[in-house]
Amino acid sequence: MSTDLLSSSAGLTRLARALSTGRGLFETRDLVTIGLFAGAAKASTVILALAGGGMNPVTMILKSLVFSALWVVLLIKVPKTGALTLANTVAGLLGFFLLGQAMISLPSLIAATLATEMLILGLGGLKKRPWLAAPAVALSELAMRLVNLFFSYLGAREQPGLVIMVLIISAFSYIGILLGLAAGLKMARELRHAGLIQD
Amino acid sequence: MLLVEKLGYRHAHAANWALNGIDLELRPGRALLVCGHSGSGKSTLLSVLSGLAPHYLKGELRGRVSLDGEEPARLTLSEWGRRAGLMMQNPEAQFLAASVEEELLLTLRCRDVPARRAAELTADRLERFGLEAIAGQSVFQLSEGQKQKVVLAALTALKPKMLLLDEPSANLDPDSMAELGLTLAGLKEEGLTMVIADHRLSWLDGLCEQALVLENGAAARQGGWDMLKDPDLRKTFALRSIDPPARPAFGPGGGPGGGPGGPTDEARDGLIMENLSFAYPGRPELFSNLNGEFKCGLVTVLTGPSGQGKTTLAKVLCGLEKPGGGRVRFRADGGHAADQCQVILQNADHQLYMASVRAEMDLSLGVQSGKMRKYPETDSILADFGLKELAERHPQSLSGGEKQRLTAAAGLAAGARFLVLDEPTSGLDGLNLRLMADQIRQAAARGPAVLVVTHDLELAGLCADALLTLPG
Amino acid sequence: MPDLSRIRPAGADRLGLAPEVRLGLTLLASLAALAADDLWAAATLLAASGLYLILQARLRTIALAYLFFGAMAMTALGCLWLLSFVFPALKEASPAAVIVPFSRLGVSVNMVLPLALHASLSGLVGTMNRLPIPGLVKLPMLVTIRFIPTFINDFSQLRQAVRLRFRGRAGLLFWCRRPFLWWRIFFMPLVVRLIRSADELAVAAELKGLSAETDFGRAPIILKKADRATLALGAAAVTAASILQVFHAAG
Repeated sequence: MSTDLLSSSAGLTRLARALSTGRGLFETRDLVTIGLFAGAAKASTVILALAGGGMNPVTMILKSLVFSALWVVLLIKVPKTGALTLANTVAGLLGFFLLGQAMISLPSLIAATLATEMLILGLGGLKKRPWLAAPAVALSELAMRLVNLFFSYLGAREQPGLVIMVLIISAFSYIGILLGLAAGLKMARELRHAGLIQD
Repeated sequence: MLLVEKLGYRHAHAANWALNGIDLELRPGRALLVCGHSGSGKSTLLSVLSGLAPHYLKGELRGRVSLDGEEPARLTLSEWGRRAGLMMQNPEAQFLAASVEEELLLTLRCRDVPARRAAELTADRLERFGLEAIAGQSVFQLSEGQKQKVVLAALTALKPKMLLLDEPSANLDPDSMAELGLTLAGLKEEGLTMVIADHRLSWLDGLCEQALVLENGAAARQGGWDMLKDPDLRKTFALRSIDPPARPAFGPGGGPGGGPGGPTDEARDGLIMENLSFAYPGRPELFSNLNGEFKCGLVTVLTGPSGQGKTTLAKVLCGLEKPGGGRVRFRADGGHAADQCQVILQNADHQLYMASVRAEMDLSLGVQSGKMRKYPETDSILADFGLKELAERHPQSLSGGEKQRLTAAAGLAAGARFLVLDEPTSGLDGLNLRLMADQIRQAAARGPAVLVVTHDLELAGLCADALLTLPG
Repeated sequence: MPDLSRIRPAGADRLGLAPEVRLGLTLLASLAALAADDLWAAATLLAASGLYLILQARLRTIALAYLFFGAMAMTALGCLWLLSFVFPALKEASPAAVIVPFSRLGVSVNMVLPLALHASLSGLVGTMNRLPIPGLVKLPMLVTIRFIPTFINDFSQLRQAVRLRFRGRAGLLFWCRRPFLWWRIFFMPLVVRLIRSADELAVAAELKGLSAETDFGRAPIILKKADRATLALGAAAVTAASILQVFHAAG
């Protein structure tokens, strides 16, 4: 009994360490690539928001387009389960630390992405089917928007009609996400042709 | 002692061996120069010696490398990195922290040095390399020479046995090269073994005792430094001069064909700068009251130490920066250079947009005529620049030199009257240096005024009609 | 190359709080505001957070931020008014039902603005070293912080290259008819640089021995007098709001 407890506690420690370092799942080069794409995605959206004004529909679509195209290219370059969750976590934490974004909803957003990745893994995973990068991004972004809408509803529960504006913004930005999927897949194909993404 | 026996390396998915049958012996405290034309295997050899291949670059290795009996293949990359430090061609790419001090601390913490010891070692390295004054400065604001010093300080903090340097002089002006030579000589005296891969040779005279000339991944010649004094050997293997290049000698006017300050040639159009001054906000003037003319059809070389405003002058001439005073215009029609200028950057990644070399040329011709289509003249332009065989290749898959040629071809096709090349020969071997000089002259012969911004006096000697040095 | 310190936005910081204190207070206030639905509790939180903002930002900055969020609020109310034609029940909402949600938005603005004004990329490294962040996340974050200035520099170089190659050539109509060409010209070189930078930095990290398992140690969080006082006042405001929420709402 005590041996079982000891071995299970050692196993849990190993699991906790594996989860905190990603050992066996990610190599250093994967983590560097994920970090760079997360930084680029965050920086591009800030640059576009500053250039075009955060609330105009064209900027909203463009921001999401760039964001999802980058995510698709990333998932084709690092086709590993957990890559999208980690990328969203890093981008989310950057927003959290620097702009105070998604303070309360961040854990739910990460959980939503992880759930999407599990679904994609169930469908065969990104290594076997690289094109699944597009549905993975589409689904995770949809899940994240639903989470955001839920928190918006909580914030305006006395007058749910106010959420309509958030709904409109989410819809516009999701159009950008869908356009970005096609752009990302096309771009990844070209980058592979240029030898910048290896199989 | 570094021992290399029958070393071979083949990149993943490659049919040919990038290195083949190399044998080497290098005693502690000695330096070896590895030279040869571009693509001969210099960087691959450094990748193997640094452990990157095959630990990181998953290729096939045969033969044996050992340093005092230890082999990189039997250690992790991190463990080998403590013994053999690699300085890459672009030192900035090695920085993972924001400031000089943080970079040194981070490097030591990555090697599991306790925090207090890491702080002591950092202070020691800052003092040893004369970096105390810039310890808190952002690594992005340093000069190329300072960046190299930071990398060397980090690499030597834990007393490695060997230093590997990939093209260390590629982006340095002659003064910085001399300073780097002194720094490396000091490290050699401390017993460090060095392997230096470089195209520029003159600054290594007195530093390297041995030389290895590579060709197609094999050791074509191997021996003492004096071996390189043979001009036939240098010509055979496309090596550069081993004598310090002299500034091209021009007459009192400044240039034979008449660049800024050169003899005037009234019949020829040119880009005139009149009383040109510039200062970045809150900083002293970089240059003031510059006058002169860049003649169409001729090559002007702009040279001088780093930080004196060479690239800024080029930006002002092209309209990317607004001058504090004075103006720039074409003599014939008073037109601005801004709308008729092309700049070929050292790193052409930012200037290539399309999915094939042909499409890139068609884009240039298309924006010139206002119609996007396939242009029949594309083939002849590509042939002129030696790019016809590469027409269907993706521009981003080309070598650095090929990208520069494509950018120049695209710029001229877009109707440039003023062509600026920024450091076009960094990292080029002797043969490609001469080819680049020829192409610059040919580009000028097509009509535009050509300005070459470079530290490379060998290039200046080969292509300059006029020389311009900014006052210090 | 861009100077990291220039990315730090300027602001009148009279308190000089530790970033962890700002983060903690913002989180606490956001949770409290979300939970409170009593008008007086919400007003207490709004007043306390307003004071917190005034002590850490210039009035001009505050006015601009409120102008922007005011415009957003008006747009939301406009949407609500349009919806009320379809759903007449919306017209019957009490004033509190409209004020409380906007007070939550106000608390959010008051708390987030100081955080955004005084956060910097270079300061973020220190914050990360003081917080318990797993290596799996810390390494990519570290790389991100290192890379953002390079990315911004790449972007400005690309802008210059595009200006040089295409300025004054072809007309506006040419470009308007080809939006995909714009996309290629601006986005493709950036992604290429991104991938090349990733490969270069990965090599640098591997050579240094940097990995998710690298132990950087944890720096202690040191709180100054102002930090402790602000935390105490923040806790007091949240407690007061909770009391009002429980007793006033019930009453």
